Amino acid sequence: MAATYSLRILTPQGAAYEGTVVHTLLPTENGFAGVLAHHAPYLVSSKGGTLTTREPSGIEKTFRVGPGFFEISHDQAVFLTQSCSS
Amino acid sequence: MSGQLRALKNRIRSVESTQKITRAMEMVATVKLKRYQGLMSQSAPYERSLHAVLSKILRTGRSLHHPLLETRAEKETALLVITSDTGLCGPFNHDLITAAKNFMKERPAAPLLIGIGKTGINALSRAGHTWHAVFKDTKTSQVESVIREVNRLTQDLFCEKKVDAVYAVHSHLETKTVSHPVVEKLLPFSFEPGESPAGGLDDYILEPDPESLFARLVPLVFESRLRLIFLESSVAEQTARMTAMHQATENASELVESLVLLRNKIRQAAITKELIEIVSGSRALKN
Repeated sequence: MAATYSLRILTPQGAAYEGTVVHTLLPTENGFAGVLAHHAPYLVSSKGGTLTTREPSGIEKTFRVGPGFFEISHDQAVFLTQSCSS
Repeated sequence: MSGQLRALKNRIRSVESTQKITRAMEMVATVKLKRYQGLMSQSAPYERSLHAVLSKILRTGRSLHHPLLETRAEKETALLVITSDTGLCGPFNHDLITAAKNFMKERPAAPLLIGIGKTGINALSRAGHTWHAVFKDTKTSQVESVIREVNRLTQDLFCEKKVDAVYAVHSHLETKTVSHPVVEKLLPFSFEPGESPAGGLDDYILEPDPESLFARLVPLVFESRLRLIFLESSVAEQTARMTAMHQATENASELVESLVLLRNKIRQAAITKELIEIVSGSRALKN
């Protein structure tokens, strides 16, 4: 089974997503970046766009996110943005 | 006698209906308070994470600059006055308006005023102050758009060097129920360096680079600060209204109690008087 990590998408209106994921594809300033578990500590700013996550069950979820920040360290990932809609 | 009794009955009825209104208003304030507290707790994780990211970037040790952090000699200032849109919340608005007036007295030049909330806007307009921008009758659904608008306005004023500092008069929540007015400097923006470095940041991959990350982060942190101030004020306002209305309801019930006592006394006096008349009348007939 693929290694997983926890992801939270936080907005000022509360958590838009909280769950365990295998993979996240996020829009950074310089194109898309894919993040798997055990990623090195990483802090990146995002220009906003489509963020796609893949859960352990194989289900893919897509969110439209505003500009923000993505941070992962020790398999705890947070995406901070002003707006997020699935 | 019966006229007095009738007047008293009317008075009791009117006090009772006022009591019903104040009780209803207390309940409305309670519901609104819960809603604003909910909004506050919803945005708390976002704010915490935002500050965590900020303190991480600050720990890189680079000298970081941003237009919003620039300190200049304070010639022109702007003052954000946050009051409530409606009254009946005890001394809440009065305290805030007094704090704003005191602040303006201390300044050599009149600050540029930005108002949120009808009560404060009207009171300061009556005192002869003019407004740069006003936000009235903000509904819960409009909170975000007002915050964004105030954010844009203050940042523009500051970055275009129209003002050298932005202050805010707002209610600060000391505890869950105790709040008091404070004057706070919003811009040039400053923040606590955060907790002591825990774990090295050297192994972090930062993209694009700390400077660009910082430049994008500062406006967001400033906006979250504004949001917190705004929500805190709303919570303080509803708490003040709830307390005021609770007090009013209690006062009304005390008043009703004393009026009922008075009514009973008058009614009893009327009955006694009638009895005396009947008895003395029958005695006179017997004799």
